[in-house]
Amino acid sequence: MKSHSVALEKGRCVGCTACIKSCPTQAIRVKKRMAFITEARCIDCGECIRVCPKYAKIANTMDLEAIREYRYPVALVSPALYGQFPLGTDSSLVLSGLIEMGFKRVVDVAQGADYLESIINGYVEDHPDIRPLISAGCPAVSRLIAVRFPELAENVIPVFSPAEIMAKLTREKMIKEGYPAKEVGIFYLAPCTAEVTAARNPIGMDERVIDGSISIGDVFWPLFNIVKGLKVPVVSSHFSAKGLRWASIGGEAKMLKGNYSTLAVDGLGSLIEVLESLSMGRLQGIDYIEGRACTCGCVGGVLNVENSYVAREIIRQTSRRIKPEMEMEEGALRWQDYQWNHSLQYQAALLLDEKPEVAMLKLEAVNDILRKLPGMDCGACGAPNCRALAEDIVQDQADQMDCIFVFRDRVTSLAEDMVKLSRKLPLSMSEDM
Amino acid sequence: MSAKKVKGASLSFTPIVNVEVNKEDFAHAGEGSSQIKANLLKLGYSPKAIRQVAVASYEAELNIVIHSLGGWLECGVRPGLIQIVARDRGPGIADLDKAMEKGFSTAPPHIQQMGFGAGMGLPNMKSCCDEFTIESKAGSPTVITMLIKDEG
Repeated sequence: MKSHSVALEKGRCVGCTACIKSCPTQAIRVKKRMAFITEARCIDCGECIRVCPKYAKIANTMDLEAIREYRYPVALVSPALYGQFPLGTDSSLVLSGLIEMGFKRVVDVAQGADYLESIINGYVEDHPDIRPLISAGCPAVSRLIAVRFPELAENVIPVFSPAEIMAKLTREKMIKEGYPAKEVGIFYLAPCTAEVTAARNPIGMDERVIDGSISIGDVFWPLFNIVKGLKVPVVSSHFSAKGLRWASIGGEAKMLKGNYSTLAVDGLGSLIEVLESLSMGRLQGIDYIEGRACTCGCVGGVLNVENSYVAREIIRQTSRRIKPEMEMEEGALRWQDYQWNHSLQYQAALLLDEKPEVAMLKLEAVNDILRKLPGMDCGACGAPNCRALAEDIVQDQADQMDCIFVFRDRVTSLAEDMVKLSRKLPLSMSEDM
Repeated sequence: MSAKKVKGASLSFTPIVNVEVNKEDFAHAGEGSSQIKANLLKLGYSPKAIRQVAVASYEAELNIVIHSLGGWLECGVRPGLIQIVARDRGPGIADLDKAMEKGFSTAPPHIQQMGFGAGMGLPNMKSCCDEFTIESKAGSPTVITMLIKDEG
């Protein structure tokens, strides 16, 4: 499966185990001084990229050259991009800079976020029996649910993301205007690896609506240099303060009309706690959960260049200077027109075995091995904790001697045997009777 | 007190989790249920069954924390069937019929102020499982046994 966007640059990895504990699905193991990612478990959250001290974890994105494969390349601009520029930078100039870089058209995902408002409000109203509903706005959250919380899959709102809404609308519009469908290439300037993967391999949809993704980090510096020299914009941005603020945590939850109780949760650690509570039926009275894997929301995406807190403040300040709400020319969008083909699919990546009886035997074996391990969860074996090592041993992917404590005990007992043996005399010389 | 019977309930279960639950230990309430859930995911039980188990086991765990002198939460499995057993050291329930009523609670006010003890625990457990048994009387331990079928 080559659909993931988190990858490893082999030459840089020194096998330091910094990444293994940051992974929310325990997808990483270090073996032979190198990190390996179990593809089926990876949710592309990008945490390993964030924590790698050697910059060995990289994002699998396209470079700018890729847009030349299309005659009419379109830039789908994440609102997080505006958080990277110094406060006061005109968003229309940023978009004009992208035109200068070779894009034929620029589209704001923040505008898609403005459209999302009516979609989620419609969905929440039409599904009073499902509470709380969980936003699908962060693909890493949806994938985390698919792997670790499949029991919550039916709570996820199965609708397009703002980027997908804009990709769909733009393509339809350009085809209507007479552009040949094959010559239009829609590229997402993405803030995070999860969005990059979602563009390549959409959640809930059989066909992709975005043709490729380019990292904000790769675009930013060349774009910044162009924007510095621009005085007059050639295109203008179309979004409201609400749409722009969708890039920061809480931006989506604030879109809900009516007296709903909402939680806006950022950061994987907090999010996992909330999902655990939800799964146990603990969050009574909560109607809506906006979960974002990154701290501060999309402005905290691992592909951005600016600190997430600074970017969030830039977005907040900028949003105060623009129109608070969008006037909908074509009327509000209906969720039914932007619905996934299928609901969130359970990804059984944590299974010990396909066959239940075998899985049961393996679980018993795991528990037996676990009792012999020190329970230090030190990670020196290359697995994130003792239980993960026990599972790897049962799956024939590791050995008990990979545990340095077990190994040391074995060395100690061998050494003691050696001492005992060294004192042993042949029967002819022995004084023992 | 016992509800409808589930086929295979009398056969033996393979234990997968057995944790001690302490009296009034709100900080750790839910850890046992969380462990049960993590294990069921590894064994391939369906999301639907896991959802039921998560709610039922958490309510049972919380009941031990709020109302008992401490106890144990256990989970055993068979193909297609999950058993949750919550047992405590007492003090027992004087009026079982009353305890099963929605909204009836004996939780003290300070615990209700924390958002717990709304009188929905036992009714919720019962509605989440396919077979619900509770044995208790004043002055003796309470044992709750729940069975959840996994039909895939």
